Amino acid sequence: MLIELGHYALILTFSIALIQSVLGLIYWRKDNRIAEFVRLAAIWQFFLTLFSFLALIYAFVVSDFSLSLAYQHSYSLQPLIYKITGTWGNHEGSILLWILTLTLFNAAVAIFGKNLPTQLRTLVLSMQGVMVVAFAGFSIFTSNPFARLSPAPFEGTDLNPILQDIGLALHPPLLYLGYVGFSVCFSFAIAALISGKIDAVWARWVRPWTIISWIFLTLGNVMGSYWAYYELGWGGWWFWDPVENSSFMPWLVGTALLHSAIVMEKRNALKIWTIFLAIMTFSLSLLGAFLVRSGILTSVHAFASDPTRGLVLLALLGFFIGVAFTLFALRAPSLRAGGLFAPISREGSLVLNNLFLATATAAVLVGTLYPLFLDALTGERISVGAPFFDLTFSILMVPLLIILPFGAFLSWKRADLIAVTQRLMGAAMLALLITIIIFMLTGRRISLAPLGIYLGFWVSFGAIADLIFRSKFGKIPFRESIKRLFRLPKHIWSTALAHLGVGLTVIGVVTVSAWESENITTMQVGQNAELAGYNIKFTVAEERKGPNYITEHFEFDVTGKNGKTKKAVSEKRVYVASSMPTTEAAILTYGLSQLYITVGDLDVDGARVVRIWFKPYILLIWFGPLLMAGAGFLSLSDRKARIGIPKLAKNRLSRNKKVKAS
Amino acid sequence: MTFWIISSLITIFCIASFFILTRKSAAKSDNNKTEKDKNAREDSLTKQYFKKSLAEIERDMEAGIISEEEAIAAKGEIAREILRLEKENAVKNSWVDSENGKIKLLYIPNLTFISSLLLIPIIAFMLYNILGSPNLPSMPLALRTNPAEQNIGAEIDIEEAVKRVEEQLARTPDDARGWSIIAPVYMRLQRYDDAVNALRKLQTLLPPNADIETDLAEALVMANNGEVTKEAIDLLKSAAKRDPKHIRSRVYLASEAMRNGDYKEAIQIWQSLKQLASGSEEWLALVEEGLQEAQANLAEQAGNNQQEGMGRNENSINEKQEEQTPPQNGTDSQAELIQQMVARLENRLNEEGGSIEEWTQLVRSFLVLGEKEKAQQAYNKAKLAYPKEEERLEVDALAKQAGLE
Repeated sequence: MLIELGHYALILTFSIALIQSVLGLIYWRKDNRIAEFVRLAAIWQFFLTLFSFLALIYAFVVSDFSLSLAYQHSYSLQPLIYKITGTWGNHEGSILLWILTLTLFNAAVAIFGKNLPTQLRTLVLSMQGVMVVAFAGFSIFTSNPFARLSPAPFEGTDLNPILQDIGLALHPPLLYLGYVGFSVCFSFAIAALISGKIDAVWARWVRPWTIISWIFLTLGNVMGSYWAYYELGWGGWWFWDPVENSSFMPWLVGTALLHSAIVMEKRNALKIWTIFLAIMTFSLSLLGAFLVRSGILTSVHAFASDPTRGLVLLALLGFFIGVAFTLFALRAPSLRAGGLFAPISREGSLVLNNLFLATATAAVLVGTLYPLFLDALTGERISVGAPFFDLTFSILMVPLLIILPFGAFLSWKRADLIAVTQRLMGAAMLALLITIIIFMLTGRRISLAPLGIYLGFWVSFGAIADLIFRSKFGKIPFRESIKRLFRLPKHIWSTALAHLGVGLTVIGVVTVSAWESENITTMQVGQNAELAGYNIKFTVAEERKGPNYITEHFEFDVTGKNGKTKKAVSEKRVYVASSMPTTEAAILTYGLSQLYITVGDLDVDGARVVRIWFKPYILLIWFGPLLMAGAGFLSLSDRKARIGIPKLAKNRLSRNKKVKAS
Repeated sequence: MTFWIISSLITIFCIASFFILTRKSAAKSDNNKTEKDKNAREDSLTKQYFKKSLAEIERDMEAGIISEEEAIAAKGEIAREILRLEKENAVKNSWVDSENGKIKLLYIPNLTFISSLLLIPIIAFMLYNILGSPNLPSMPLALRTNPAEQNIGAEIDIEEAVKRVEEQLARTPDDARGWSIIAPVYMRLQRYDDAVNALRKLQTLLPPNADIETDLAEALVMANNGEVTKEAIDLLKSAAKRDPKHIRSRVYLASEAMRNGDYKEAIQIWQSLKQLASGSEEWLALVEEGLQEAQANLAEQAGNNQQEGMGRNENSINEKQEEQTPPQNGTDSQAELIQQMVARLENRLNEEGGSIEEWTQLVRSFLVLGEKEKAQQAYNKAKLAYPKEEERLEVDALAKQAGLE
C-alpha cells in the first residue's frame, strides 16, 4: 500500500502544480490570496514528493519486486547502500529524484523568499510550477516509477554493476541539485521578462541561486569524472564523451552566468545578458537530459532508450526554450540595460570571460551535436573525438587564463591597466621562474607543456597576489598585513580561492597529459615490474566471493621511491544476476600523484596482462574544482549588501582633492 | 480501503490548508490595501537594500578595507541608483493609476478560487484511477517466505527456476547436489557450454565417477556441434575403465569406433556389452543391431580389400569406399563434417524455422558445397519465412551474386 500511496502523492503533486501554475500565471499581478496559495502549494509539493520518493526507496530496501522498477534494478543480495542508490540508478527513479530536487528548491524559494517582492515570488514559483507539471507529467505518463508487476517475480535483475558504487550514490543527486538550481535562475529570468522589472532585489536573489547551482554542478561533475576514472578502469578522467559534454556545457555557461550575475549584483549592469545566460544554462541542462535519455547516445547514462520518451523530452525542451526566447525577443528591448563601464574595467574583463566561456560552450555544443545531425540527415556516421575538443577548447581557454588574474585586480567601472600589470608582474615572474626550474630539474623535452604549466602557475599566483596586494604586504607593517588579510571580505577570499582552484586544475591537467607514463606487461604471481621508480610485485591472485558477485582478487606490493611498501588491491568482478563483469582498479596515492593498476585476462601460459599507469599530480584535477566549489560556499556565506566600488573619474578625483585642500 | 482513506485524508488536508491558510492574506488584500501601499512596500525593500549597502561601505571604510576615495565613489553609485529608481517609480505609479479599473478585475473571486481548488482532487483521483493499482498489496521479500505456495496454479517458469538455482550456486559454489541438478537441465535447454562448466565443477567436487565422466563427454560433444573431441573419448575410456560394468560409456565408445570404421574394436565392445546384459535390458536390441552391423561391415571391408588387391571392379570399390570406409584424409573428413552440419541445419530450419542469419548461412553453405539447386530451395524458403526485404538484405545480396532467383 505504501507504494500506491507514494504513487498517489506524485499524482497529487502533479495536480497541485497544475492548478498552482495556472492560477499563479493568471493572477500574479494583484492577488495576495493567490500569492499565498502559490507559496503554500510549493511547500506542500515538496513534502508530497519527498513522501513519494521515500516510498520508492522503501520498496527497494525491502526488495519488493511487485514494483517493476525494483525488479529491473535491484536484487535481494545487493548491499543495503546499493539498494538505496539503485532507486535513482535508473531512468524512472532519477526523474523522480529530479522532481524532488525541483520541489525542494521551490519550497526553499517559498520559505526563504519572504523578503522578495510578492509579484516576483509568485511569478517565479508559478514558472517553477510549470516545470513540476512538465516533469511530474513526464514521469507519470511516460516513465512511471510506480508501475507494478503482478504476479511479482521472486528475484530482481540487479542494478547495473558499474553503478554499484558509492560514486553513483552522490553523482546524480549533486548534478540534479545543479541542473535544477539553474531552473530557479531560469524562472527568475522569465519572471523578470514577464513583469518587466529587474531591480537590485532581483539581482540580489539571482546570484546566490546561481552560485548554489554552480557549486553542485561542479561537485557533480567532479564526482562523475572521478567515478569514471576509478570504476571504468580505463584510467582516463575526461573523454569528451557526449554525455560528459552535456553536463559540461551547462557548467561552462553556468560559470559565465556566475560572473555576469556578480556584475549585475554589484554594478547593476549586464542585466539582459545575464537573463540570456540564465535561459541558456537551463536550456543546456534540458538538452543534456534529452541527449542522455532519448536513446540517441549509447553510454552508461543512456538508461532509457525509448524513442517516445525522447520525443516527449524534445517537446518539453522545445516548449521551455521556445517560450523563453519568444519572451526574450519581445521583452528584452524594453528592459533597462543598466550601468555603464569602460572597456578596461572589472566589468570589461568579466565580459571577456563571458565571451570566451560562451564561445567554448558553442564549440563543445557543435562538436557534440554535429555528428548527431549528420547521422540524422545523411546517415553518415562520424565521430568528433578528443583531438577536436582538445584543440578548440584549449585555444579558447588560453586567452581566458591569461586575462583571468587581471580581472580580479581591475577596479569596477574604469581601471588602470598599466598599474595592474605592474602589480601582477611579480606573479608572472614567479610563475615563469618556477616553470623554468621544473623543466630544468626534470629535464623534460620542450613541448607545449611548459606553456600549460606556466598558465597554471600564472593563474594560481595571480590569485594569491590579489590577496597579498589587498592586505598591503610590504606597505604596512607585516603584523598588520596579516590582520588585514584575515579581515578581508569573504567574497575577496572566495574569488582568490576559486581562481587558485582553476590554476591548480590547469597544472594537474597539463602534468597528467604530458608526463603520464604507462607500463603494459604480462606478469605471473611473484614477478616484478617497474614504472617511474616504483617497484610493483604481483603477490596474490585468487577467486573470492562478494555479496552478489564473484571476483578474481589480485594483490600487489608496491615499493615507492622512499622504500616503503604499500599493498594495492585490484579485482575483476562478475555480478551473478546480470553476469556482467566490472574492473576494480588498484589505486595508490603518493602525495598528489597516483599509481593505477588494472589486471587483464589470463594469458596462455598462466600470466596476466597487467596495465600500470603513473599519473603525476592527477589529484590536482579534482582538487582544483573542489576548491572552486568551496570558494562558492564561502561566497554564499557573504551576504552583505555590497556594491562594486568604482574608481573615480580622474577629473572628479582632482576636484575632490581640491575640495579637501581648501 | 485503507488506501482510499489515507489518500483522501492527505488530499483533504492539502485542500483545506490551501483554503484556510490563505484566507488571512485574502482579508489583508481586501482590507483596502491600495496599489500604492504595495508599491511602497516594494520600494522600501529596494531602499532597505541600498541603506544596507551604504552602511556596508561605512563599515568597510572604518575597517580600512576600502579607502576614503573608494567610499566616495561607491556612495556616488548608490546615489545614482536611488535617483534612477525614484524616476522610474514616478512613471510606474502614474501608469498604475490610469489602468486601475482593469487591474481590479484580476482579483480572484472566491468562487473561482474554491472551484479551482476542487479541481485538484478531481484530477488527482481521476489520474490515479487510470494509472494506479490500489488493490495490489506490497510484497516485500521478507514476507514471501513460501514462494512455492504462491506459485500454485501458475506455470513454473523453467528459466526462472534455473536462475534461482544459479544464484544459489553462486553463493554456495561447493554444493555438488546443486550442480548435479542443474547440469541435465542445461543439456535439455541446449545450454551445452554451461552444462560442460557445471559437470567440470562437479568433477572437482566429487570423487571420480564414470557417470559424470560420460555426462561430461556427452556435453562436450554437444557443445562442439557433434564433433567427438579427443577429450571426450578419453573421458569415455576412463569411465569404461573405472567401471567395468558401465553401459553408457561403452555404447558411446562402440558407436564412435563404428563411425571411425574400426569395426574390430566395435565388435569387441559390443560383445562385452552383450555379456554385461542380463537379457531384459532395453539397450540390448541396440547392442545386437550394432554388433551385426559391425560384423557385416567388417566382412565387406575384408572383401573390398581383397578385391582391391586383385585390381578388379573399381567402380564398386569407389562406391563402397564412399559409403563405408573411413575418410582417408583431412579434406574428405572435413567436407563430410560440413555436409553433416549443413544437413542438420537444414532439417532444423525446415522443422522449427530460424533466424534470417541462419537461413543466410544455409544458403551460403549450399553455394559453397556447389549445390545450387538446394541453395535455391533454401533461398525460396528464406523468402517465405522473411517476406520483408529489409530483413534479408544479406541473403538477397548473396543470392544475386550467385545468380539465384
